[in-house]
Order: sequence, then structure tokens, then C-alpha cells
Amino acid sequence: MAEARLIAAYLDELHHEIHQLRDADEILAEIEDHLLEATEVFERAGRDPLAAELQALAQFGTPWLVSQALITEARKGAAVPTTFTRRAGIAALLIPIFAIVGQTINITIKRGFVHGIGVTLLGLIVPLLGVAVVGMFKRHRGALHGWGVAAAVLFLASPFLAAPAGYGAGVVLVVILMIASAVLAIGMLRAHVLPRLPIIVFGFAGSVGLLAVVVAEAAGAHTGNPIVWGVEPIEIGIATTSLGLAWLGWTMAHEHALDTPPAATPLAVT
Amino acid sequence: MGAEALKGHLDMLLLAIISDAPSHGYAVIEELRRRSDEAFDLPEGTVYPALHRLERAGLLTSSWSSPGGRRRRVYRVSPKGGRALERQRGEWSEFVAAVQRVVRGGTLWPKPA
Repeated sequence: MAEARLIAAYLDELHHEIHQLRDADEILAEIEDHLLEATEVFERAGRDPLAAELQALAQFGTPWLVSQALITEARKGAAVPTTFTRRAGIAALLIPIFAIVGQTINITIKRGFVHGIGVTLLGLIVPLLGVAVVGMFKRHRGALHGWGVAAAVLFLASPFLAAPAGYGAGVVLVVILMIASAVLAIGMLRAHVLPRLPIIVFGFAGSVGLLAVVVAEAAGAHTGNPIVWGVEPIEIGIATTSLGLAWLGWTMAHEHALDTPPAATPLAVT
Repeated sequence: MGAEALKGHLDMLLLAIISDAPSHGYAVIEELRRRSDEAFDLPEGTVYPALHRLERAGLLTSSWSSPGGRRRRVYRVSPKGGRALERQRGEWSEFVAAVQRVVRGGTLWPKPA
């Protein structure tokens, strides 16, 4: 067996590329075992030690190629679509529909059975939002890292943080949920699991609307009356966030769940 | 046959090999090469992310041993992985049979002269 200097240099370079991975040391140990065994096999086949090492490294792939594959997979975690994430996608898709229909009925019909249906639809948005958000977390299982934890804490703590605001609790709740959505969106963008555009719309439209109100207030342009197209920027933000959520829901609902047999393709995993 | 041709199939192939015997990465890759008559030729380093993905998905388990003083990670198919493999084998057989029926063309009715 040679001194395996080339392998050591290769592992150093690979370590530089993947050191941020949680299990980098284990990965490197596994790859070292592979490269040493491959080198031994080539030596036994008659190659000199240097040639054997070179061939083992050539067959393994460049540090950049291997590190990219490792990092991409690590970011994804076991992020796979399942029946639950598909249902969560449907829940996300229903939220803006229930909001529009429910609010329209709520405003136009003031009493009676139909009014009750409108209120019920509005009330169902809360559990649907819960299912949609849990589904998004599950769809990114392990890939959201600290951003996911921060977003989850904000989502769960939002009612308790908003409650002390009393009459203004609704506004505070919306602000916290917007921030939580933005944090979640950053994690989702870094994870590279779902398409970027709907994530951006979902995560940042509300914050932009919020920022517009703050800027208008600071500039003295916000008098308390609607300032853009007859509605508040924050309302546009909420509507756009809902659109992004529905878009993400559409995407998730159309993915093939790996825990059910595929309808059209012979293989499930990958 | 390169990595592109294996896309979508690699996980089933890895599960199939490891289900026959618990193996470490090098042995899995060598077996993949041997069984395919060296048709599946892909950068060996790109197989490890797939093994790690299968482990994270609960289809494989792994443990470390030290043969000859060198640390070695050995993979085994979990019960969940075994069920997934059986399902994929069945679906693959159906798929291959269907493709063959199409590709071989109509043999029931001879072409008109």
C-alpha cells in the first residue's frame, strides 16, 4: 500500500468543500475507506502505487463534483413528497378560495344560513393554514435547519405574542405571521426543494406590503385611509401571500407521493 | 451507460444489491458494476449521496465496523426498505413487460403483404 498522499490531498480538498455538513467527518472516513480499498485492488491488479491511487481518484469523481452531490442531498434531507404533503398542498390551495368566498358571503349576506356558511368558511382557514404550514415543514424535512426552527417558533408563539396587544392583537398577529412566513421562505429557498418563485411570493409579499405601510407612515402619506387602489398595502400583501401559498399548494398537491405506488412511472425514489 | 441513464433507477438498484448482503460503499459500487457488466459507469463518489438519502429516508440503516483497523460503514436494508424494494421490483417488472410488448410490435396479426 502506498502512502496515499494523493488520497490525503483529495480528502483535504473535499473536507474544505463539505466541512459545513453536520456529518462531514463520517463522510470523509467513508470515502477514505473507499479510496484506500480501490487503490489496494488496483495495486493487486499490477499497477504501481501511484497509478493505482490516481485511478481510484479518477473513478471516484472530482472533489467539486462529489461535494456538490453531497451538499445537495444533505440540504434536501429526506425531503420527499408524501400523501400528507399532497393533502397539505390541497389545504394551502383552499385557503384563498375559502377566504374570498367566505368574506364575500360575510359582507354581502348579513344573516341566515348562507351567512353562517360564509363564517364557517372563514373559520376553516385557521386549521387549513395549520395543515398547510405543517405540510411545508414536512416536505422539507431536515432541510430547513435553523430557519425552520425559527419560523416554527414564530408561528407557534404568534398568538401569545399578539394577545397582550389587546384590541390591536389582530394586526400584531398578522405582522408576526408575515415575519414567520419570510423566515420560512428563506429556509425553503436555501433548501432548493420547491420552486423559487411561489416561495418568494408567499414569503415576502406580505413583508413588502407591511414595509410599504411603515414607509408611508414615516413619510406622513398614510392618513389611515386606503392609499393604493382603494385598499391598504398590507391587504395587498396578505392577498399576494395567499396567492403564493396557493401556488405552493398547487405544486405540492401535484407531486407524486412516495408512500403510494406511482400511477405512471415504474420507479418511485429519486 | 452514464449517470443520466441511471436517473430514477439508482435507488432501486442500490436497495437490490444491499438486500442480498449488507455491504459497504465500495462493495456496493463494485457489485453494481459487475452485475451490469460494467454498463453502469458513473462517478463512484456520486453513489454515496444516494446511499445517505436512502438512509435518511429510513430505507437503509448503517453501522460502523473496523476491519483491519480502518473505519468502514456497512449498509443494511431496513424492513421499510425491503417493502419499498418489493414494490419497486413489481412495478419495474410490469413496466419492462409493457415496454417489451410495445417495442416488439404486433406479433398476433401478420402485416398485410
